Amino acid sequence: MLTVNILIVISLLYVAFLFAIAFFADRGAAKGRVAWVRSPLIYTLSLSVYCTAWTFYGAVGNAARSGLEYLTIYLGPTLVLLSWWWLLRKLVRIGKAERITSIADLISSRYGKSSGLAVIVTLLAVTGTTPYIALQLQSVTLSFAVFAEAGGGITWQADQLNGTALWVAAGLAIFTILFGTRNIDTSERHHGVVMAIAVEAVVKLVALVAVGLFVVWGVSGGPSDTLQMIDASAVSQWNPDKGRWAAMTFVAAAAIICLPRMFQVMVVENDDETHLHVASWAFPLYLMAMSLFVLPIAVVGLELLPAGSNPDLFVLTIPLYMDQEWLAILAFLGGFSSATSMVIVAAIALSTMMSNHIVIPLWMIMRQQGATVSGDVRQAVILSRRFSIIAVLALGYLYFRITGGSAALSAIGLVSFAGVAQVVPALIGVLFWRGGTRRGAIAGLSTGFAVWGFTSFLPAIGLIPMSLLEDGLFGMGVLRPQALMGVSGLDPLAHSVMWSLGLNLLAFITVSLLTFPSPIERLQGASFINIFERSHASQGAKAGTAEAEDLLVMAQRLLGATEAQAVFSEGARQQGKMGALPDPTPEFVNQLERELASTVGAATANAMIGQINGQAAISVQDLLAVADESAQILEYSNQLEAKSDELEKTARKLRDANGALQALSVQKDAFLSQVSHELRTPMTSIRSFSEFLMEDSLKPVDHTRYAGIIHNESIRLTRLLDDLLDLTVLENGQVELNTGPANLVNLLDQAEASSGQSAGNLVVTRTHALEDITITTDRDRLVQVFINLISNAQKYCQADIPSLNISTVRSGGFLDIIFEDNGLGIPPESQSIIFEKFARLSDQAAAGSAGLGLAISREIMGRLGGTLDYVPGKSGAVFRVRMPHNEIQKAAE
Amino acid sequence: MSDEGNTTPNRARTGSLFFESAIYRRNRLIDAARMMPLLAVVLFVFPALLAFDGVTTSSRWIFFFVVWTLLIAATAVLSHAIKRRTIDNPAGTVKRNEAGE
Repeated sequence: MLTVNILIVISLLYVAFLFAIAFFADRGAAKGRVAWVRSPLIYTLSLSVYCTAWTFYGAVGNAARSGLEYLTIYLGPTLVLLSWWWLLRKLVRIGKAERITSIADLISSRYGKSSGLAVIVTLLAVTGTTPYIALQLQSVTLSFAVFAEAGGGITWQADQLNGTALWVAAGLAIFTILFGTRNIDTSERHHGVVMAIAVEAVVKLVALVAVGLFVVWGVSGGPSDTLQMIDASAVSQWNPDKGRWAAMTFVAAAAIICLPRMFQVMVVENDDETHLHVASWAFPLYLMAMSLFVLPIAVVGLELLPAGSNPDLFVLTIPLYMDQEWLAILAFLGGFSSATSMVIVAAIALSTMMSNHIVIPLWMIMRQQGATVSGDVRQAVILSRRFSIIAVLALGYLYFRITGGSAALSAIGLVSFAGVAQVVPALIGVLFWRGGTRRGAIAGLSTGFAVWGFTSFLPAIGLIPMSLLEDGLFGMGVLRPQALMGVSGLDPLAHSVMWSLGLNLLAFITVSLLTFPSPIERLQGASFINIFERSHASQGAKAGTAEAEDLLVMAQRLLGATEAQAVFSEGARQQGKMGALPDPTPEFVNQLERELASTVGAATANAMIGQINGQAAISVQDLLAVADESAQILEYSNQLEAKSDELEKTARKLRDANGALQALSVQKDAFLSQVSHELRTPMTSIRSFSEFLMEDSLKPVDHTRYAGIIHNESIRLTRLLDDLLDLTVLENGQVELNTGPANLVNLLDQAEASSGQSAGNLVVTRTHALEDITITTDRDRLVQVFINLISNAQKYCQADIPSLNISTVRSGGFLDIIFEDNGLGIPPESQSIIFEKFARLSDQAAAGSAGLGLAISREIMGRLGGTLDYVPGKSGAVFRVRMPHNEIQKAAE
Repeated sequence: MSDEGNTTPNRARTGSLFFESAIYRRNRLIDAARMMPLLAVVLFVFPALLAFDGVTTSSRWIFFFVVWTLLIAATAVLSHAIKRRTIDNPAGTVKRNEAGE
């Protein structure tokens, strides 16, 4: 004997089974083993979430009342699936390229990322869907109640019905939270849930077909008998209300795309666009199979069961009546599956919308600072999703309680469809019409929402008082909810659909034509509508699976070999795969993306990973972000290059300066040692001879001689110090030159006189005529040079009759004064040394000479703008004083 | 459907005015796939609305399901054929034509 308790046990076992399926599918997906979940068969079966308890039970009820009308609910979607090539494929491709997470996201994204539109669509979806959830709760509780009745004759009362509904709602909330919100995957895929839904789809189909087969062959006498029964029954009297037929087909067609749960499974959860090739025929096949036996069951039920039985529940009551308990349990599980799959997916879809477009934006506004840590936001998002799921289910339960499970609830199904169908005009702008604007969409949606609310939603849930129905809004007859503008002959659904969608479309088109879209709207419009030109479908089975090797190659290019390998081996270690490449699990890929982002920027990393993952197209937003990042990186590296160039130059300069300083330091050391040596020699003499002078036993003649030597040495020392000072002043450039005109003849005469020439035995020959030149120079300094050269000749010229010839030559741009003696000349190896400080070639003239003369002369010539050089190649010593010609030119003027 | 039509004349891309025959056939298959919904509307909606007076319910029922089956079969054949021709063609051809389709 079948009791409710056994049924509860069976239900719980079934639920546990679903949990297990969802759990293992999720785990498999997390490990990267997704081949099973990604088959087109699973995708097609997941679309069956369209067939809810309303389809399972309500269709039979509808057939019993209105004959073939129920077919429109299946024919509409079939038409849409047949349009897969130009309609669904475009939708799915846009969804992937723009990473759309819900129908609200789609509309908002197309019209310039408008959060206002997202909120409107979310509210519309929540308003339309929560009564539908109540309907599912009602179906499940009613099916329990049927068993209670059949098993023990117990008629459940309100509190039992409410209690069951509460349990079911709570259980569904737990399932959805567990498998819908464990981690927020940016792709918004829920593999576990999809797998569970697919299994439920099979159960639904098997149950309904089993009952159908039983009815046709078990109760009736086979196909031909059944057909006769159909013709004989009351339903054959039904004639289609043409308006209603068209309206129902239209809203069902709209619903297969616009219902939040349908958008979720069809677009968001879609892995591979090529699944549509299979779904295009396989899903209509499923629908056909689900609808095949509905009419036979209805007709047989009407015939078999006592009058007044609820035709909605024929699927359960016929087997029970025929004592087929196991078939009844199977049918129960089918109905249970239909109801629960709808609620789960709807809850996920609605909570995604509510969370993304209402709760999180509000939370962000209240926080003011924005999310500083990404972990922060993740936690908040997960919490808000869970909160939204609970809110959605609570609302559904509330509706159920308020309407008290009345028959009014079953009318909600079509009303719900008509509500979400208000999105269709805006959707045309999303897919096909560049002229659609945000304000047009807002106008259309608001108008449609309002008219729908007034003409079908509020009447359906009983919130419109009778007076309003009869007399119209504000007492105006033309504003009666079910006869607007006096159009009264129409079926209420057709009436509502006509007015709401008609005004919606009118408002959308008119306002779109009158308003100008913002740049971002136009950008989005172009990228959405031209999606086929911008992208291509990823190829078959490989789509969405990144091979670990591909990732490694790319990572090495961007991070460098060592760092990339480090990341990969760490990933492999975490997965327990030592020494091998890690599996491309979502976790690892996300980790890799983060590593890349720190090098190339977040947008670029995302785009590159997306490319390898077979993502079909990059949205324009992404491209802009990538271009931005690239520009920044380029700028930065240019700056770095410039800086490093500068640093290079500076380093070179520093090196050179260092070298110069070192050379200078060596020079200084040499100079200091030379100076101290030079100073010591005369000082030694002075000391020694002054010691002699201190002795008493000195003869007066020696006394005089020693005093003379001391005197000479001190003079020598003084001269040395004077020369040294002079040289230092010259070298430091601190010398002050008194430039003025002078005649060369006078200068040379002065030099001869000062060098004590007359007292010496040097014969000086000159050519006075050629020396008659006026030059502009520092007289004293130039004379100093001449004196030095003449006295050198006096001191060092080795010849029997030493003579010095001073000649004047003008050549090129220069005036040369050449001092040539008839001595031995200076050997080649010494020719440069003689100009060095303290250089003396022989000891002969050591007394009185410090060896600084030529050094000083050269410095002086340098300061005067000329040169002093030794001219080799002659037999005697030849020194050339050279001065620039310009001086003479000026002087000549 | 002009939005997604292949706007670059074939001549501009390949230098010839006509597609090679494999692509032509594929395009015709795609056209057939595009027509299916129209055919379905014609077959489902019009009889139901216009021509069903006097026909028994069971006949109507049979009519719907037979048409439904035929449409499903036709779609299956078409989508399989399109898919086969898409995979056979190398990526270059796919790009050129996918762009228009």
